[in-house]
Amino acid sequence: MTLDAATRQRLLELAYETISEAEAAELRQRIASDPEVSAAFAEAQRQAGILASAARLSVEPMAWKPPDAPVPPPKPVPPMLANGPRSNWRLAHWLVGLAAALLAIVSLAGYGYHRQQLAQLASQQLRLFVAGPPRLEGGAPAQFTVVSTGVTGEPVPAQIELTIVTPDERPLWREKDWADKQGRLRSIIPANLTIPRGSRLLVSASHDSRVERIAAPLNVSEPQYRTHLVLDRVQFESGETVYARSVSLSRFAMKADRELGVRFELHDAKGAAVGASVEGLTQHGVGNAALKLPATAPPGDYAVVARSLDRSFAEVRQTLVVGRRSAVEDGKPNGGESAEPPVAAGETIVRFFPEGGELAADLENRVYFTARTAAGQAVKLSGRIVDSAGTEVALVETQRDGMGAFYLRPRPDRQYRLKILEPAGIAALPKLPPVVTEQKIVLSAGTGVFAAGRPLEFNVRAAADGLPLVAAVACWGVVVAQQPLVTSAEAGGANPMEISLPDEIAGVLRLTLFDYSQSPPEPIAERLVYRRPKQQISLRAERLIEPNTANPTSRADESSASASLKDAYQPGERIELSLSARDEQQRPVAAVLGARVAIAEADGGVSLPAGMLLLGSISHPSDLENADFYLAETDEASAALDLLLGTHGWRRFVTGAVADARIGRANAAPADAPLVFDNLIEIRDEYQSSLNAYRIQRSRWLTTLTTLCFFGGLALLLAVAILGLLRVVAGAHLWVSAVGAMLCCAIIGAALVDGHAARGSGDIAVAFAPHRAAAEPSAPQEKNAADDQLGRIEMAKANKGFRRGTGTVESDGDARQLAVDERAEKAVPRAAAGAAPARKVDALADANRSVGRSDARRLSSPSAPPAEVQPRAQRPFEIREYAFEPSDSIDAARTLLWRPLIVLDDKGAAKLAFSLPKVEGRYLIAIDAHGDGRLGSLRAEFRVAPVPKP
Amino acid sequence: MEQRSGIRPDTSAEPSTARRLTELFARSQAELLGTLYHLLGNTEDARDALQEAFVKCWRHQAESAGVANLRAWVFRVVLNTGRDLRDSAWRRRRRPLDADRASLPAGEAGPEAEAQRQDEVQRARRAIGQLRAEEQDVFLLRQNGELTYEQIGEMLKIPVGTVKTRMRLALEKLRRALNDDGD
Repeated sequence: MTLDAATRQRLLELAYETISEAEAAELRQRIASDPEVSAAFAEAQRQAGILASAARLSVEPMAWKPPDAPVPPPKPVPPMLANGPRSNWRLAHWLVGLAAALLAIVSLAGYGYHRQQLAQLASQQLRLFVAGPPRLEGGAPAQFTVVSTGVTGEPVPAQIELTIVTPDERPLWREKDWADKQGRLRSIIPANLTIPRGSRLLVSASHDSRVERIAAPLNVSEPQYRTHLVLDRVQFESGETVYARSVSLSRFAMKADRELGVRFELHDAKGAAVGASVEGLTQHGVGNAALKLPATAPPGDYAVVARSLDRSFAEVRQTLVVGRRSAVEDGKPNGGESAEPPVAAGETIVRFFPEGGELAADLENRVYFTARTAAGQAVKLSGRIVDSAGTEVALVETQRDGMGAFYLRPRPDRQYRLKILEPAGIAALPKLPPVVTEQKIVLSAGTGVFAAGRPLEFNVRAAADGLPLVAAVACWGVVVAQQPLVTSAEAGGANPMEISLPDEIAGVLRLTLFDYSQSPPEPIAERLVYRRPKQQISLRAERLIEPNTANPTSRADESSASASLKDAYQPGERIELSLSARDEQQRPVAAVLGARVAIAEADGGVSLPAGMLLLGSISHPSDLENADFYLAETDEASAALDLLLGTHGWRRFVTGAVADARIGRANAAPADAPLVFDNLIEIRDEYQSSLNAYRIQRSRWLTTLTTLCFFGGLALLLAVAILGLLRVVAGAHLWVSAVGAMLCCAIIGAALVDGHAARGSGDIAVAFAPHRAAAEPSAPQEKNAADDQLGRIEMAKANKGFRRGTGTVESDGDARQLAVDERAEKAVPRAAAGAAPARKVDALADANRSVGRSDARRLSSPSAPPAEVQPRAQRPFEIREYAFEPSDSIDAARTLLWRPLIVLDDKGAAKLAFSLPKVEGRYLIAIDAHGDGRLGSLRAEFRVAPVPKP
Repeated sequence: MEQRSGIRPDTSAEPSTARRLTELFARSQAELLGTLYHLLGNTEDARDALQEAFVKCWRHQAESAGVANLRAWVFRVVLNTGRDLRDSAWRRRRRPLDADRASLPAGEAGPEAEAQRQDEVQRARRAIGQLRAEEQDVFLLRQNGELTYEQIGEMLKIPVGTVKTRMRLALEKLRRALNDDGD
């Protein structure tokens, strides 16, 4: 058979009549005309017969007996079944389906109309939220956050306009932009903008026809400066000269944009001035002095104090010791990384610092801790955290310098203790802070150290929904950025946040969470973080090789400083160094240097970058013996810095309250709480009124419609039941349609009747309690005075801590001074909050009216003694340099070189030369650099010792 | 005494319906049984199912009074009965078709031709058994029930085009099985 399979298939289909008439006719014609096709058709018919036989089953005939059971009587056939069951079934389904669809459509349309009406009502309200720094400091970038949403919280991309107007209503600065998809706009007022006192910030948001405006008085204050003070060394003898160098830079740009008047004083242990003070104007931000110790100066602790003549910076002091040699003058290298602290033999004091401040119940807390001896020596410790039921819940181990961290999810009804395993033999079980059930959030800042130029990324874990929080970032006490957050307890309570900062904001930053559910806002969590600077100076020192010099070339730079430390030089040798400074892109930078070469001491002084970026915010600088190490861009340094900052948690660095976190919380004044303006409360009332009016208006016909739909669904359900019972028609499809329509009508009807269930007032966004700054124009001045006082307190503590670090003893005078400072510190928040007598405030206001922001003159604080008001120095400092000559005495060789001001040329290069003494010893080359907003330092140690000749 | 619960089937009262049913089952026994056989997989289950289908039809004979095509109505009942039993009976008692070789219809040709024909019938029967369920339903209703494609579509609640497509697919598979050449 040569016919193809398709034709044979068609022939078989012809036999079974599955093909069209036209095709069948064609095939029949072929069968008649073509014998081969005819034969194939016969074969197909034969196969059809085979299939018919196969489909049947022939057996012996079965007996078809009627069943014995009674046959039910014939049912009356309804008229609709007369034409057959199939058509009636379809008709019933169509009718029920149509009725169900009609009811559902009417209900949905009503619901849609309701939603559209609600959305329209909500869109008539424009919420405007503005948060910003409570004080604008000259030179500090001020960031304002503007959020525009509807009354229910959905973002509204409104057009935002921010305008600063002077007291005479003259526009000073303006920015107009659209909010992003989240309805947010971040606006930064330029740091170099001069804003007169009494200026106001006007913020307007417009969307469609709706315009909302907010006016906020601005607190402005003069630019402030950071000052770093360093001496040529710490150990002195009576009659010697103390060389001091100060570097004053603007707080945020870190530039010497103005020369300041500085007075250097030498104080004895009782705080009394010793000898004459030296004052003058800085050059390139550098002040210097040579202060002579009297030949009759008794041994003890002294201090060099640098004060601003116009209160541009907080007083700084650096301690020195007269008459006592440092125990580690030789031998121990300075700045080493003591990763393995000694094991304490005596009492071990363990202190815990929950990240953010308090141990929040039922949330995962990171808890930092320190382990120290009573003398403050770091202790290597390991142990377990056990709860009051004796269950072990966490392992604890110090990671560096007696510091460590662990994670804990505390239960509210438990008390936790540390069971110390190492050092062995300690039976005491230090208690963790109590679990605070009222604390509903935990601040988690991740590594705590952020890369240069990167935003601060952290997480707020919350155990409660709808907490209105504002996260504020403060640098040197000035709020530089903030971000609102309404907490969500979903997804494990994680609320990731990201705060962008201007590039110049670097160093230690204070991250605070404020609760704005009440006014004034309450700080509920806080910790310190660190942001690396984007710009820096890389210093390089190379020894110039003289012809026929036997000694190998010495080279020192920051990355290979350790190699230089091991270099040794011949006594009496003269060393010439070539210095070069490069920026972060390895371009020469015309930096200003200060260089000293002196005997290596345990406390060799903190470098300029560490002093500027770290010291001002650390309450216990004794922890910063290796301050320069923390600035290294290594994982180890980052982890160590995180531990250091984590143990300075809950506002302890501000209030000094370390015993009880709750005390710190109670004492914390919200002077640094961001300003918040939120019109939600006003528009919420308006929205409620319009919502109520809408409900009254729509209730008549919408309720009728809802009721009709509901009863329609009920009737449909009843009809289906009746049809089924009468056996007219039944089926699951009918029931699904009827029940679906019934449920749809019932749910939508309930939602419409109860507006709260259908996006009524229950979905209004969470409101932030407004918080405004003190209204008096003089408040900034008051605040500045308070800040200065606070700055002095911090510096006093810093220097006090430094002295502890060197192992010397505090004097009674300093202790008294500190006590006075702490009393003053407690008064600071009140003063800052405007609690000073109104008369004084008015006087300051009168005095301030003529003072613009660009004018750097600072008015004295009411609390400051009149003697502190100093005239500005008119003359620059005389540069006092010193270089050791071999003919000098041995004692004089403790300082080999002192050059406080070296200005590099455009190529960023300079030369340095000094002679070595003829006696053995270990010396330190310390060079600090600053320029154009960059900081840098170089530290290199070397030994003076006879080198055996080959 | 008044009879309230029901009445015995009185064939004298409804002679035409009862007789038509009995005659139809007797006349179409091979087709009905073959349909159930291919649905259930063995003769024993097919016989039981056919008996059950007869009882159902008997009890609902009153409803069949208004039915125009009694054969289609009976095949519908048979098909539903076979479907109901298929799932349980299929796995429990299915036997290979060869076991029922004795039940093959006899032909009128010579012994050699008859043997070839029996072989083809066996192949066709296996092929019918291997059809997909929906193809099998359509083929059996058409082949044994002699229903039109429209009636099949109405019975199975599917369009006529779908019925014909299934039928074509079934025929192609069966033709290939008969040709045994896989063309």
